[in-house]
Amino acid sequence: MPQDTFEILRNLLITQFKLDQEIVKPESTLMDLGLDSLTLMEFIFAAEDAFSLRIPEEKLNDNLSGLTLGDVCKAIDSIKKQA
Amino acid sequence: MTEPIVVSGFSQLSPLGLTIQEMDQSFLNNDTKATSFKIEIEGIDADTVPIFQTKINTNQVVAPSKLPLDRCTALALLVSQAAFKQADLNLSTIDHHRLGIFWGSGMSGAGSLDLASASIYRDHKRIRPTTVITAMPNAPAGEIALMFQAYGASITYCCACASSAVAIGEAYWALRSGRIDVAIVGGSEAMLTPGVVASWQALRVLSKITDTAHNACRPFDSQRNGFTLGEGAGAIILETHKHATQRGHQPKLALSGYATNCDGAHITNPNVEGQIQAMSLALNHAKLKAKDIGYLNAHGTATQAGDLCEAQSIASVFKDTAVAVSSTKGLHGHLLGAGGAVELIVALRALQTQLLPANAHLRQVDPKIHLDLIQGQSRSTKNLKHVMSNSFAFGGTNAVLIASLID
Repeated sequence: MPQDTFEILRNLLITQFKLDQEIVKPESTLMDLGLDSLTLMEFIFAAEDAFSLRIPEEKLNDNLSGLTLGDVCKAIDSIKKQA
Repeated sequence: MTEPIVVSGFSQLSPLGLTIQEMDQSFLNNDTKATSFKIEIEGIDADTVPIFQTKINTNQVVAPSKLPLDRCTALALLVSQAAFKQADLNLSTIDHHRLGIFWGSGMSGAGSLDLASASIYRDHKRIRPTTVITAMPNAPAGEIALMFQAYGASITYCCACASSAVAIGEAYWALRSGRIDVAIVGGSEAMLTPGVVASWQALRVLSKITDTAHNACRPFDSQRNGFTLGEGAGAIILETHKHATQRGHQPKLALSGYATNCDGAHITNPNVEGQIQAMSLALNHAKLKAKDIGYLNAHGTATQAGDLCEAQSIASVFKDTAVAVSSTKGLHGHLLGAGGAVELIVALRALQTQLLPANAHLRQVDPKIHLDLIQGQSRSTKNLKHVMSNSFAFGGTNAVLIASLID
């Protein structure tokens, strides 16, 4: 997992979603971060804008809130590689 | 005797300042700073209008919902917290099922919707997923209710420039009915984005800068030429007398009268008969005579038609009683839906300080207007016991509030 992907997401969560930096770790699930259905949508939207890409729904499984930040980073990195 | 509905705290964020003390200072100085707002939208003629901004950065305000906030909602959250703190209420002991939110906003998230439209149509960018939640008119009330876990009520009143005055008055009745013990009431407005300002400009009701931006708005002046848009918020804590005293609070102010009615005559033009009736009904509700009112904060937007109509209405209700009148919009601008709340706070503060704010920038009174208009500096008074605040709205809604010192 390239560190910069995580750092960009981390910065996004701290500045835009006002999350405590202590809880923003690669192993944190989106649920751990306190993101509900609406804030999850906003987070994915913001992440897509930050990397200028779209994350296909199949890259994010149905249990979206159970994904870790590391999982989201991997999904983003795999899309970046394909581009 | 019916127990009063008491005012146990209030706060405001407006072009007058960010605290009550700053507001006092603005009235003492009789000056605030308006800024020039250049409306620059591709395809339409550029224009510049004066506006009154509230000098506060709301970008760091965290929504209880954790969602992006419209500035109108951010101001609502900040001002509600300040008023609640001033009332010295304890969130851990309050009965949350008997706490209600009654909020007013004329345009609420219009600024966010305007910027979202620009994003789609101008920039061809996709729209944020929760734009609806940010822009919906009841977002301020909803977020305040989340913040205070107010399970008793969360109601938004949207009646243009009377919105927060109606919200305050309707909260009175919810308290009086026994449904709730405490209400966080007020209003907020923050819509100074290019498309919204251009919409108001298109209506030809905004003042033109003839001298400097800061004194463009001149209520009751013979040279008045319209109003200046402003942004701001005001919050008041209303409480039953019983609840206040049982928790050890000694209330000194009461909301003693309220009336709302509708002109039913024209969608925008004010109506003398409707305004007379609204003021008379409020006096009846408060069981007061016109002579009992020592200060009236007029709606006074500085339009030709509006000021003349209100002056006739006031003169008719108060007859030979020379009630001291001022419109404070020359200093804070037209706060639209937040105006009723901020202006009631101005009147409440007059009760506390016995200082009546002047009509800023009033140089030459319109010869057709015959009122005791406060000119120059604030007027010192004694024995001021009752004050009135008028809010008259597009759509025909009139709302009149009366506040009193508790003996």
